Amino acid sequence: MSPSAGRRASSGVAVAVGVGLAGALVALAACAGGGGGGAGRPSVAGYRAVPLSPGPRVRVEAIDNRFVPGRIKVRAGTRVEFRNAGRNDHNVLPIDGGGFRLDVEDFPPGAQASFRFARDGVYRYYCSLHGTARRGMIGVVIVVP
Amino acid sequence: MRRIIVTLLAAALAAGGLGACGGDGDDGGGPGGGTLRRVPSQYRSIQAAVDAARPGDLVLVSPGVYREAVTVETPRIVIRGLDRTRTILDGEFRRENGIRVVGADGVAIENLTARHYTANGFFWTGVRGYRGSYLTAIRNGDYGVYAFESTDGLIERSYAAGSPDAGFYVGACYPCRTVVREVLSEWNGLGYSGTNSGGDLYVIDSVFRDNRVGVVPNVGTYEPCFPQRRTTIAGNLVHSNNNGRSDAIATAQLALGNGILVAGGIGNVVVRNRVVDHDITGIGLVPMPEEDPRVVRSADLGRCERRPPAEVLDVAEDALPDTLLWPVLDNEVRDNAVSDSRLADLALATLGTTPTPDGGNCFAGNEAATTAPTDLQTKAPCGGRPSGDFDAGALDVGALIARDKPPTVPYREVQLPDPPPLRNMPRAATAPARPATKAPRFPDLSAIRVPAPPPR
Ligand SMILES: [Cu+2]
Repeated sequence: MSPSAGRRASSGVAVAVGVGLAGALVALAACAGGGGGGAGRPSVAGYRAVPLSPGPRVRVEAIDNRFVPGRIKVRAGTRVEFRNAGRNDHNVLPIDGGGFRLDVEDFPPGAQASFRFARDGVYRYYCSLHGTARRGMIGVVIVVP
Repeated sequence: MRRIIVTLLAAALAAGGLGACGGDGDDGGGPGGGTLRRVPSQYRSIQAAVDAARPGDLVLVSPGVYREAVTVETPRIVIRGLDRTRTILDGEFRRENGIRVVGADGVAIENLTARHYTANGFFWTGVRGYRGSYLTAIRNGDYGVYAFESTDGLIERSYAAGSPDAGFYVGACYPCRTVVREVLSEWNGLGYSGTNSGGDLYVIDSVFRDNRVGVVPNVGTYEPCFPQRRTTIAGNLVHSNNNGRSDAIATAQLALGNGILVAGGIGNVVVRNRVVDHDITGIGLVPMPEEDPRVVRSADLGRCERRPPAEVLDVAEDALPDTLLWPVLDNEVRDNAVSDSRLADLALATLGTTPTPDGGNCFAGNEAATTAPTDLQTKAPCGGRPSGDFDAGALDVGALIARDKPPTVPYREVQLPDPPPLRNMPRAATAPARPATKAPRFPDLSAIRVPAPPPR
């Protein structure tokens, strides 16, 4: 637990990355995207059961020690906001290069950071403290056109 | 017959060094059925041996300081040190976890020390079946021994000191089917903590001393499996948990000076513990204040979860309360020996969170000189109806929270005492590998006695 690094404390690490990373995103989206995918890379089609979260902004919470919801599906162009709603430190690291990046060093309780997913694809990520690229504290953003 | 096979296998392991004992390593079943992998003579690091290991194997680690963080993703292996205090994993205050078992069932860790990790000494997450025996965890940045979303576990004969959160933690499981026994926890924020855990969860025959607070089942929306329910705390010696010279997370800082504190828990059984020398309460039952709770969406509720309080379920973000009070309900406190508490040996405060002032909690057969409210064992008896004035002599929880608390001391800087002599695992060099493939045996509560008082 940590003393209320509160959701209402706007001093959080609220970060809007989007534009600056567009180049990297475009480069990486090529391998992450499009429903086909390379060897072992999951395809958008494999996540048909995940309901679409509407709206320009969707939130994922890192609680201890899980991402909630662990799987979200959004339209391309949606900004996904990650917030640490737990009492322990966490992080959000892309798997397989991932095609996205949260521009924060630390992600302590109460912190938030966001990324705008411009291209369709499957973006998997994990927390290195409580998971590995294969299991544990792991999540996925499925971006559809 | 089985015993003969085990003995033969043990002998083969002892003699053979690289004992490929003819067992089928992949079924991982039989004790000693796997391959012996020695560190550092065969593998330069523990991680290298773990990566090579298959289910049923034994990774046997010689004395030395291993500057690494080990991740285990292979089920049913055993990692064992040859000498508990001289086989040391060292995080050097820059690695996260000493040994971390992620989603690999049945892994046992034995006879090792993990120190100076920024997160945890020993950590299992998302497993069914685990065991930690003869472990020593010193000065780690979150927890000493940490089991999360894991069931069918046994943590035994282990020692944890110098963590700001709990020395021993079992959380986010229901039913947990887990036993914590014969551990010693000191100089932590919390001696034992279990958030949202219970259901055949036993914390028994252990010592919790000189922490900020001793034994604390607790609850929150920030972990899966809420609420907290049905943990049995029995036969423990809990004393002198008033230690303001340790590091501490916020809850530990807030709860300084309590022995066994059930914070917002339901249906726990606290029986035949000896609880001595606490600045606030010996055994206290209180609601759990959760600051900044999150919105819980019913669509996200998991299998182990019950509906959370209506204040947070499917509400709009701006309708959340600043603090959510989880009620303390239906706990049973029996036959404990509680003494030398400065405010109350036994205490109950429901703060209006329960339909009745007792909240279904009960007290019976306890040795206790002082209670809050007064005459608590008469007012809230087990098997009888609550009666009387619960305001008379009640704890002033607000004043307790507002009390000045000693500041935390960063865990790297705490002046820890030397650990007491710690037993080695018997026959560590030769005992066969025993992966944690079965649920532990649950204790016979009737055989558990109140332990002797601490030495003065
Ligand atoms: Cu994490």
